[in-house]
Amino acid sequence: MALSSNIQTKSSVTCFIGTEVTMGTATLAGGTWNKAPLMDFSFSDDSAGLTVAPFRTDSFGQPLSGGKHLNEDRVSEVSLTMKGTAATINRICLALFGDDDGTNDLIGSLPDVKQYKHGVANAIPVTLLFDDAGMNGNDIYFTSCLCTSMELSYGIDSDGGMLKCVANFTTGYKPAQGTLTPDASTDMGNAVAFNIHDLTTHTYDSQDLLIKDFSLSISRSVTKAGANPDSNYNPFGYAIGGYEVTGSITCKRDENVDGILDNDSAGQVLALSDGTFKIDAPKCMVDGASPSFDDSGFSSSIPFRCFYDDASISNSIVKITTA
Amino acid sequence: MPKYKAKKSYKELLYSENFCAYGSASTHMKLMDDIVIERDVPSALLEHLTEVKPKEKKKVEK
Repeated sequence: MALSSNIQTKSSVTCFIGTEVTMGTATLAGGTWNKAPLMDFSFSDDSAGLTVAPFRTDSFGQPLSGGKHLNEDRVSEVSLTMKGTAATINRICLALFGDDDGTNDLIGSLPDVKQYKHGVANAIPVTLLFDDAGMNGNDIYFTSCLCTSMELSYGIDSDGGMLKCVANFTTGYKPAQGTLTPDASTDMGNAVAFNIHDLTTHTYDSQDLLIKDFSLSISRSVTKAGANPDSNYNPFGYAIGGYEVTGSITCKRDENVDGILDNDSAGQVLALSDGTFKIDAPKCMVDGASPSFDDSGFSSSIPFRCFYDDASISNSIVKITTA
Repeated sequence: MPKYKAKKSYKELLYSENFCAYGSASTHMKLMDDIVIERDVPSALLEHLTEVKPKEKKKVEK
């Protein structure tokens, strides 16, 4: 057996997000594809964990029969770090909670799609295709991925202030290696990414903050529900959990920060805007702020969590406007 | 911006026909909860929504 001459490098990989029609069936070449403006990525290989039998009391070696691959629990995780353009944010919001019209309002009653079953029509799962990233020199694609989290973040002194969008996905389906080439795609990177230097509104609880770093994360659990041993241990479905919306502000420590730290469990308004990109969270609570004693002046780190107003489950938790 | 409420027929639309198909699951959920929405609406959905107009003030004759 000769050594393979294939090599794999990040610079030769392109990622496409495909909109699926039926759960368990990868997006066809002629389907709807979005090219992701990747800055970084990672994915896991098709490798199930190992479970092992306990030791016999009078034996100190592990017999072969005691080891079993736990294919039932096998999942693949995919992480995409992308330019924070309007198209990118809209597409990930669609995968995470069903909005992509530029208002992207995560309300208390979402998601509307709560059931994920193999073989049933569903436009929420996506196919993630990595061109030229298969071990055999072909492509690798992950079928019926559900978005588990999105983090939007930017900082004054990092990456030129550019907004980054990190999206994490999971799938219970076996990754496929072969050739899959979208007939056409929309490049989500054909636009200027939002930038922290453009912020004109930056208030929390009506206090104007000089923000150095900002991040917002929306996450939920996705669990493989059942595995079909007759079909590569692919899932019969997924179980999804509720959304947790958290974030962090790092800003100059001053009397405006003092005005925020009430510890009264009352919902406070977060409002960020550059005129186009806006984050509005009407009911936030600070979750353990702390100072840092930088040589360039003290700053405050303000972690927060977003809620919806109990008056109606249709009230907004966070709204991410991109247009 | 016009305001709308869902008719019964809206609530019977398929996923591929309701507001989810137009990229706004949040608007769909609000309509399903009989909440008035304030936004532009795709023409295909107009027949399934009722426009909510502001009440006209009665003129009081002196």
